Amino acid sequence: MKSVKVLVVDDELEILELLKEEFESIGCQVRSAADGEEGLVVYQEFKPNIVFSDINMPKKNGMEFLEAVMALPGDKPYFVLMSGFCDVTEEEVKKLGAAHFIHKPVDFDFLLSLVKKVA
Amino acid sequence: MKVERARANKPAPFKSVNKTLLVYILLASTCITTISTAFSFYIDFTNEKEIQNQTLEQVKSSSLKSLTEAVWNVDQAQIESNLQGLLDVHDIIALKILDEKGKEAFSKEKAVEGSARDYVLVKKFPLVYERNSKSINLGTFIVSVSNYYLYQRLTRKVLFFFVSQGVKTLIISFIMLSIFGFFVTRHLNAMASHFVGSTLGDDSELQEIQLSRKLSYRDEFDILADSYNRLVQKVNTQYEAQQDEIVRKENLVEHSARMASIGEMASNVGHEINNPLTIIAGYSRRLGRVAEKMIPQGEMEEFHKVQESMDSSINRIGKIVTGLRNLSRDSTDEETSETSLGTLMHDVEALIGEKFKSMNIRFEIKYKNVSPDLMLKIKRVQVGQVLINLLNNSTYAIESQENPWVHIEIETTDEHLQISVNDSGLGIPDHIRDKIFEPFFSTKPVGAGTGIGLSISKRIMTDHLGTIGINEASHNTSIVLRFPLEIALAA
Repeated sequence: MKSVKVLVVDDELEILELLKEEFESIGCQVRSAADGEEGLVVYQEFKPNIVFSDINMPKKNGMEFLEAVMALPGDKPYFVLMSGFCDVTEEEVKKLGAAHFIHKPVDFDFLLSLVKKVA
Repeated sequence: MKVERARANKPAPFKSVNKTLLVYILLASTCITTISTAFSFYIDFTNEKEIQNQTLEQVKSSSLKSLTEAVWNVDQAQIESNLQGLLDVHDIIALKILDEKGKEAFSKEKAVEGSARDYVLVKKFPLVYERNSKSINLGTFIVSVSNYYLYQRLTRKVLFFFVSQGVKTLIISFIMLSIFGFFVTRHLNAMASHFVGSTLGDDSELQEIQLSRKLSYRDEFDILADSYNRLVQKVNTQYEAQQDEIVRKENLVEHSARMASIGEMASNVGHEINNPLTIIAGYSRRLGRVAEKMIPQGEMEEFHKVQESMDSSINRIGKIVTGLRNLSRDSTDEETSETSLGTLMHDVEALIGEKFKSMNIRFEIKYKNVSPDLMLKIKRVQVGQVLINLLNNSTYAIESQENPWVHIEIETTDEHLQISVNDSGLGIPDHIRDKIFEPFFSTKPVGAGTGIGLSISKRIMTDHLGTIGINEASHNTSIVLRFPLEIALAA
């Protein structure tokens, strides 16, 4: 699990912290960002294998962040979008290249199983 | 151009049919009088001429012989008396006898007006005396006949005839006009003023026409009035239906606007709830990890139980919020989408399940011969609204019962996918069965219900080519939704 790099992006700091704790508990390297813009900066520097991002965020929302990441050259990450509540459909999200679309409240065990799948 | 067109479109000036009739009847009667007068003039003229000719023939046959005799005998007195007698015959104004050399021998004239001499017809008769079968020419007898008197008589006659005929036709015309007015134009007028004055053109209801007549039989006007009245009734019925439709549409718009604003609110609330829920779920897990270090092994089971209850509550809140979102969206323009029977029921249960639980209503979904995985092609939000609406009606009806229950039974028949919503209520009373799907019908107290729930449900079912109805065979209250089997996607 040491080799798996996870990037978590959410404007809700407690969620960031809790997710980080979960992923670190199974031995992943975890970095976090509070919005899409920051997320993109961290992404380019960190080059994670898997990204968990919220949709409703200031500056750059999850969809824009996803598009920006997918437009970058090189390997595409395993991208998981999470939403508290929005009218985006799973198809739209998948069309942009996301692997999953998850509604909050998230099932942490399911998130961990995704990380294990990537490893 | 515009002005010309406007002028062309302007209706012709109004002229009452009474007036037109009067003009035409007068014209026609004048024509008839003139023609009949002319005809009678012609007949009289021919008759008079005939009489005149007969007179002259009489002169020739009766008087000429005795006159010739008198001339032969040179009997002055006889000649004189003969001529005087002839002069008395009307129209004869002058008599002359010329001798064999053409010289005037006798002449007798009547004293007449000057103009009588303008219309003179001269007839000449030879005076031939027969003696021993020898004809001796004694001269010529000239009779002057004036047509003046004939014309005068004819003129008087024609004038009298024309005037009397004219007066007669005029009287008949007016009588005809009055009869026609009584039987026809009066009612035409009534109809015209009914159309113009009262009803055509504005948006209000049309009035029926009433003719003022007391007849023991029916005629064309009754048929016309009856047909018009039937038309009026039809139009009025349609007008009312249209008004109802407008009100119904307004209410639907209001309803969907309300649903849309609930949806928007649900969306905001959902966002606000789901993030903290995630946080709670996260902390619950952290609590688990902390507890593992602090609580002795033997007591962890109790802790896990508590933690599981917490997690399941979190899940439940999440589901309610999702159900609220799925079923309160503005569904006016909803497109058909694919959804499984299970998901549909799941959304419904998430929204109404808590209410049932709090009211001690036993709720059960029975899949009879179908699987929850059956994929449906429906407008999910709208069908969900139908179910929620039926379930809400059930709760209202059975809340005061001792052992209330609500069952949803799903099965497929040869032609339908059938979803029945049954509850422990005692059914719908006969006298309101026909009305419950009508807009604004409600058994709830004023203010408690809008009365449009079932009518909206009916519309949604119709939209899905399905039906909504009461299962009359059931002892309890049972509402049945039937969808055509085509909405189920082949697995």
